[in-house]
Amino acid sequence: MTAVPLASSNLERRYRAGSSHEIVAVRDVSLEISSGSFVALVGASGSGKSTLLALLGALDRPTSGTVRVGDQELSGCSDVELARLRRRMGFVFQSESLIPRLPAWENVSYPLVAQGIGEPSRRQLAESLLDRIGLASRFEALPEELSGGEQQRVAVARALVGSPEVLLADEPTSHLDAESAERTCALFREVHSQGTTVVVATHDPELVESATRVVTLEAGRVIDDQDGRDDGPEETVQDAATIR
Amino acid sequence: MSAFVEIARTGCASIGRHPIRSAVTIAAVLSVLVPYLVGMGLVEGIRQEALVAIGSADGPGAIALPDLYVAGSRFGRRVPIRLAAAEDIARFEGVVRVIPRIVGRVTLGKKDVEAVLVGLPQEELAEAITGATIGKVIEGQLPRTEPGGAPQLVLGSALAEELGQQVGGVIPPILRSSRGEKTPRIVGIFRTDSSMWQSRVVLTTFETAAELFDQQGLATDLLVHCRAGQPAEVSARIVREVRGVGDETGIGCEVILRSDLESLLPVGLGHRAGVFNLVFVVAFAVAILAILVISGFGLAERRRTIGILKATGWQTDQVLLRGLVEHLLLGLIGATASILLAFVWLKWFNGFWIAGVFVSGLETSPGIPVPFVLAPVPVLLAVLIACLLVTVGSVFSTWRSAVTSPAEAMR
Ligand SMILES: Nc1ncnc2c1ncn2[C@@H]1O[C@H](COP(=O)(O)OP(=O)(O)OP(=O)(O)O)[C@@H](O)[C@H]1O
Ligand SMILES: [Mg+2]
Repeated sequence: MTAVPLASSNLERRYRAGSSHEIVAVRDVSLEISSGSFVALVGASGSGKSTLLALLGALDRPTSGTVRVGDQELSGCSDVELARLRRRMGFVFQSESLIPRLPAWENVSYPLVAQGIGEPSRRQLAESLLDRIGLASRFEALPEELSGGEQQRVAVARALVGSPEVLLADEPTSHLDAESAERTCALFREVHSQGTTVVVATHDPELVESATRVVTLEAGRVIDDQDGRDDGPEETVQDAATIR
Repeated sequence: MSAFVEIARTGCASIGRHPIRSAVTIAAVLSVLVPYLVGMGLVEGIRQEALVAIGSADGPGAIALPDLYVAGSRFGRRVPIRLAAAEDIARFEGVVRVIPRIVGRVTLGKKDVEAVLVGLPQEELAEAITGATIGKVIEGQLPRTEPGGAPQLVLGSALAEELGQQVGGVIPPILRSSRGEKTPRIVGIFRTDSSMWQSRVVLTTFETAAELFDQQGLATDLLVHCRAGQPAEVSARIVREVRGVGDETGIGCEVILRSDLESLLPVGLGHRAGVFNLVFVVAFAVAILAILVISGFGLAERRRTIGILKATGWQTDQVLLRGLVEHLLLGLIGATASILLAFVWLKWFNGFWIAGVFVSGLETSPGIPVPFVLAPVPVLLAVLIACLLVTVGSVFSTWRSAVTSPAEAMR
């Protein structure tokens, strides 16, 4: 599988807070994520990890700057093109993101409905994925019957159901016990080893350990970018904007 | 294409997944459509029955109905006509038969039950009663005029039930004439299948009616049968030549042609239907608001769900299709349930309450079977309305959520 590279240039995302106040959640972020890399986004709470991830995943529109997925620039994409891009990327949300009243297996396989895949195949795919994340027994469980950690794992399974070229995950292990977290980490490593680009915002040392590159955010800026950790010595690049 | 099918399927499934939301939506549809269908069913039923009553409808039991209804006229009002005018008219060219009739209001029994008393010549009663206009005598016999005897009456079945009367019973004096009290005797009871008006009718002979009302030498109107093609001519001549009222006071006749009645009829009912439609439009608007509020309850959830769908690669049109299928199906279910319920309401609950609101003169619980016909047009319209109602209430909010960015919709 060939994964598409992700890139952003001079990305900025402001939120309106109140009538006059504005929050700059992401400012001047220029990143190039080559295909097949495993990137960990780290930083304090509120540093802009989730915001950046949503921008990269075509789920949010930047206030200024651009995001490119492969050779397509998001701002120029039609609705259909955006939907197609999102199908090539799997996204794991930070907070609960399952569709209420849908059993676990349907939540996992719902993205495939829009691709016209019939129920028997969807069931089968969901079953094997739920098995991989250790939730085979909760096949028919509704989101409200699942614990926070179980919901998170179902969300991971859903992100993987379309065999994405890019996996974007926002703190996928935050609600998990050590064992489940380890299982999820292993899954991410496995997915990565099969050629999928992985971008994960996390505080989890183990996930960071798995990454080939660690990007540190502070107040919306990239303040540290350690690439090529696979090949021994870590090199530190102070200004992310210089990486082109 | 297969995506279309799969999406439609999930849209249908969504109805069962949100039972409360679906039930409330269907309830909103029912609250609008059931009164509408019951009202429209009554309008059509009354219209068709009225057509039968004035002889436009043909079919078994249809009898020859008069071409002209002649009454006296004073200051532009219809008033009783001199009985002697019947003889004048009978001699006119083109006239086949003239039947005098008395129609008056009476109150019967201790409960002062209102009824319409109709008096027809004895030889006409048989035909009237076997014809479509009156029904069939189910018990007893036809009334006769017996000089010196008690006035003989035939009651509509509903009326007899209300009064607790049977054949052979007597009714407390209904009118006191100058010649003393009359205590009528019930000689028969008739039932009609469909007529809401005529089962409240008391039938008797012309002479008995005249006696009971103490109005000798007068008829409420004259029913004139003409030769084909002649009614207009005869009518003109009656207005010109016949003295309808008093011996000294001028001419004074008013003639209504049956053809005029027929042309008036649909208009009159159309007007009522129009008023009803107006009321209905208001109800419709209220229901749309109600549905907007209802969908407002689930809006946060719906919005999140749509955000998730978009984030996982659903196109905007696919999200809309899913919502549309769900709501069209809800509309169809609502419409079907409404049609069934309206039918049950009319058939088994006899239009309880709705008929009373809609048809003046009927009580909350009509004592007689109300006529109704669920015609295809209002029924189809109901289906259309239901679908429109439900989709209008929801498509807008679905669309709004579907075009915002997923991150925002999921917040
Ligand atoms: N919808 C919003 N409206 C206003 N401000 C927002 C919104 N979303 C995020 N922010 C602000 O933007 C900043 C970055 O938020 P973000 O969620 O990206 O941080 P984060 O790094 O993911 O934090 P955490 O580790 O707690 O998840 C924060 O200051 C936050 O308050
Ligand atoms: Mg976050």
